[in-house]
Amino acid sequence: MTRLLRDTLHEWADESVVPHDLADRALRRRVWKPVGAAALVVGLVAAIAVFVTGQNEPPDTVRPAIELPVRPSPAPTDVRTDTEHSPPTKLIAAGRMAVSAYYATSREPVSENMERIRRKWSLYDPRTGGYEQTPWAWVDVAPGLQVAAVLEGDLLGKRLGILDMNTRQILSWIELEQPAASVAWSPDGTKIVATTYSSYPDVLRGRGDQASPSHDGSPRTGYYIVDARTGKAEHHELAPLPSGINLPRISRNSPRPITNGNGRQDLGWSLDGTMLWAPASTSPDRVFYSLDGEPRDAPKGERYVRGSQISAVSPDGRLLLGRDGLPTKITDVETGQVAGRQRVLQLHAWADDDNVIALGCAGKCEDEFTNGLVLVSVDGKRMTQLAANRNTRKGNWKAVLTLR
Amino acid sequence: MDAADEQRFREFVTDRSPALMRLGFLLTGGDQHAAEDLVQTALAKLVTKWRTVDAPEAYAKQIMYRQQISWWRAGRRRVEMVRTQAPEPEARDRHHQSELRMVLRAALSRLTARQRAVLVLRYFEDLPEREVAHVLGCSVGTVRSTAHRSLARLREVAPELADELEVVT
Repeated sequence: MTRLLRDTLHEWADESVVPHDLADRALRRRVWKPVGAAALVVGLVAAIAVFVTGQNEPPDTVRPAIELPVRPSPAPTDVRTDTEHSPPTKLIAAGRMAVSAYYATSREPVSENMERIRRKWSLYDPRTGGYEQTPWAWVDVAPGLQVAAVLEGDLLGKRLGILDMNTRQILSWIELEQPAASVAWSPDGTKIVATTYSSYPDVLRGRGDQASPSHDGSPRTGYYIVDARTGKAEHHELAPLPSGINLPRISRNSPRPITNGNGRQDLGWSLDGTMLWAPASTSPDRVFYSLDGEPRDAPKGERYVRGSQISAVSPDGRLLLGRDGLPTKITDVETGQVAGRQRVLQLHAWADDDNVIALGCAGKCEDEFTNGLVLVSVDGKRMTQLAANRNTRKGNWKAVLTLR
Repeated sequence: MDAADEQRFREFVTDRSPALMRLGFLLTGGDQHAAEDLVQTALAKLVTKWRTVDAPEAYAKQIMYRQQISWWRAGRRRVEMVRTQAPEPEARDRHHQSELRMVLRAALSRLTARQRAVLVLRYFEDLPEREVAHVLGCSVGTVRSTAHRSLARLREVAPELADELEVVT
């Protein structure tokens, strides 16, 4: 029925708005050619700037950038808990950090001897003070909790949405040519890195308890750097780290190769936002790149909580979160002396200079698989339960912490 | 370009920019800002050939069609506007046709640039296949197969349109 198509096209076209200054824009941007170049002294020609609009190049954009919501100042620092529900139904927060989102994982078979991990994301909803389950393939909330990046798709996504947390409206959609499996905001909340893969990376070999990373090599292809305001997205190729299984044997004196046996090798931002890092299974736990994908040394002075984009150094720069353990320890950055030990499993993030959001154990820690988020002081003497305990063997949800 | 040329160019833009913007709006799947980019790019090229082009509007439109496909192929990122909300359920019965048009818009915006361009040329500009082929610089057979695939894609994206689009050839 051509009628419907014609009517729709004409009615839709009626919604276009005609800018008043199109002629001025065109005249400003007209293609400059070296008219009269023959009259110029040979030798000077090369110095003449000739601007030609390339056939395939987007023009200088005059697209108005979207307004990103403003971060609250000062940011709230109160302690918010939900110790009754697991996963939580009310915001969990302490000091400078909040649980901006969490995901629950489930496994589903993809073949007789392969499984994949599926995440179901729930996102903080300021309208209700709780969390809202979402259909997105990946979610990341920008520092300040005002805006989120969401990936639309089933497991992998080719549309990146900028979501206003308060209105729940998508401010813009950005089309990606290559499918992405994760997104992460830059520390200043203006850019997003979207890691791209040729196939879904969370695939395990084996079934049930026997399932483990396939070590077939990660399908990572690279990443986009996306300007959240303008929607400009640039793709960079970046090969994954090798799995380590098929690497040639090396001599005892050779440096140990940096490897990662996981299919998922999502990129994150350095704390100062000038570099990217990729996770490694070896130690150190990450390798750094320039935003263009060139290998770089680790930024000086930056210390990270293992496997995360969160600083292990306290806001005042004095103390350093230690590695997993029971107990854990916090040390002095300069002297290395132990400043305090905590009876928790993992130290996740600094809430303020004296308190840390951590993974605590239930009761007397007889069973490390039953645990929950707590707020623990550096000396380990004060502990506040933030979230209900959960048994990670029975069902799993994982909190994502973000600066408020 | 002298002052007189510039004056004539300004008059042309004033007169024809509504038509060009309407076309740009459709080619970009309803993205006002992308449509403005497209129109001003075409006009910027037209300025340079102002003295030699006989049919400036046709020339500008041809640039727009080809440029949009070229940008799309080159992976240019588009920022889509938030879609208009569908009517509330109680209004749907009364406004079945308008709802179908909303669904069709959403489906059109998910076509490739080339697929959308072919449908716009055929059903908005009402050009015969031969002229569509000339504008896009391809064969009539390609136009025909692209139109066929475009409609199939619309039916796939929006199954509720299947009946409405079934007889379109």
